This record gives sequence, C-alpha cells and structure tokens, in this order.
Amino acid sequence: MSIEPRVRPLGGLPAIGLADTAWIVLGVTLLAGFLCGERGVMFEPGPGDLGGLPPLEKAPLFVRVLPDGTLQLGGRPSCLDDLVARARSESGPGREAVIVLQVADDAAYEQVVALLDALRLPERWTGARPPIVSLPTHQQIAEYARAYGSDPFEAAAGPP
Amino acid sequence: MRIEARCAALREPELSVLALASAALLAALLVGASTLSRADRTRVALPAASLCVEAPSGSAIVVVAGDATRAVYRFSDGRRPCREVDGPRGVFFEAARVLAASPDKAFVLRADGRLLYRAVDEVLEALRRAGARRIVLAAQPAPSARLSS
Repeated sequence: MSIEPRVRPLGGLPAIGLADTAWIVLGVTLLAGFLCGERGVMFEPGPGDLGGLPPLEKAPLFVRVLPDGTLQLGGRPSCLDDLVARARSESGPGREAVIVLQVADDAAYEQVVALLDALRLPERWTGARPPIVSLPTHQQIAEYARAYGSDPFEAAAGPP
Repeated sequence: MRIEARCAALREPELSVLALASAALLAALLVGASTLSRADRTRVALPAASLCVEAPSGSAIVVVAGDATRAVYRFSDGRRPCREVDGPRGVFFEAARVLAASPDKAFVLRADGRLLYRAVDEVLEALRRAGARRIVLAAQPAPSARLSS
C-alpha cells in the first residue's frame, strides 16, 4: 500500500485547493472594500466656511445656474466656454480666478456636479491656474446680499 | 489492494463535497463582505464625473435618495449602517453629534442626480451649520474618469 498526497505538486509547487482559493479571494475582496473609498467630486470649503463667498478684493465671477442648466455670468447669458475664457483672463501669475456659483432651486443636481467637474478639468486650464470654484448655500448668498445691500449675481460681471 | 480501492472510492465524493462546500462558503462570504465593506447600500443614481477624488476612509455618509417630488434622507457615521433621518434637520443633528466626537470628519454626500438642487442645498446648509469642513459629492466615475490626487 502506498500513501499518496491528495493534491499533487505541480512543477515543484504545491497546488492550491479550492478552499484555499476561496479564502484568498475573500481576503482580497475584503481588503479592496476597506481600501477603496467612495469616489466623487471634492468640495473643499475654506476654514470656518463651507464653500463660502470669497472677499470682494478677489473680484469673483458670479455665475448663476438656471433651472434648465444654462449659465448667467454677472446677470448676462453665458456658457461654459465664455466662463472659462473670462476666468483665464482673470488669472495671472500666482493668482487664480474665483468662480462663485448660485444654483437655482429647480436645477437638476446632476447638472451642478457636471459643471463642477467641467470646471476642474486640467485640459481647460493649460497654461493658466485652475480657478477656485465656490458653491455657497442659498442661506449664505442671502446673508452676503444683506451684508452688501445688493445681489451680486444680478450686477454686472465682477464684484457688486 | 482492497484498502486502496476503498480509499479511491471514498476520496471522490469527499472531494466534490469539499468543493461544493467551499463554493457555497465563498459565495455567501463574498455577498456578506460586499455588504459589510460599505456602511451604505442604498440604491442612488449618482451623477457622473470624470475627475474624481477618493473620500477618506471612514467618512460619514449622507444619502439623499428619491426624485424631483420627494427626497429621503439617510445618515451613517461611517461605522454603523445608514438609517433614515428626519430630513435636513435630522442630518444637522447627526452631523453635529459626529463632529463633536471628531471635528475633522469628512462627509460623503450620496445624492441622486435626478433630484432638484433644493434638496441638496438644504443638506449642504445643514452640514455647514453643523461645522463640516470636508465634503465629497459622491459621483459615478464617467467612462473616461481619472482619479485626482
């Protein structure tokens, strides 16, 4: 009588059983689950403020997103290319443009994320500094308008 | 010879039972692992983005599901599963409680892309009032998506 191993070595290395494979796959799955977090568009509010409005000295570009997704820059109809061109002209060495978004209540949320995403694409900012994009809440915009006595999104492009 | 024959007869069924048991165990554990690896499994049609960042591990999660007519709000501190809360007001209280324990906690906002922005704005305002500093608007990576540093 001879005693043979249940799993024969292959090429000098011991073959791995199905149960071992299962544990390896499980381990990898768990590890991937812990290591891979949620992905999305980062919203980076400044200290003490959540995407707050920048000071007027920074001459922000006030952009309104209408319910149909179209843009208004300083109260006038605009589009993404215009906005990018304007932001590029506002930026300079060591200085980036600041874009402040006011989104209509009835706009689709996906349009807002698409706009934030489009404004952060590096290809749009070749040779220029990418802008700081601010998305203040409606409450913050109301407080801002009260503080300055006018709606900056209605005024001509630039600070009120 | 007789012993060898009996061993061979016994070995085959033993191996297939082991294989079946392993496969069943693997399937069960994979399902369990995929459920446990995230605190939230709510089905949300996330908006698409091509330039994504990865949220910090253990981020708190705010879910805004539903459609243009009705929104449902859920919250997780990042460790326990999501549970429904009472609108933006409930999000505020939960976020304030989490931030009291860890002020640098990041928040992931998993909002349905079809929602009207009003619902999202109310949640952002609730998080702002609670003192949140880091927020990731969860997005579904577009086909040409890249991971930003």
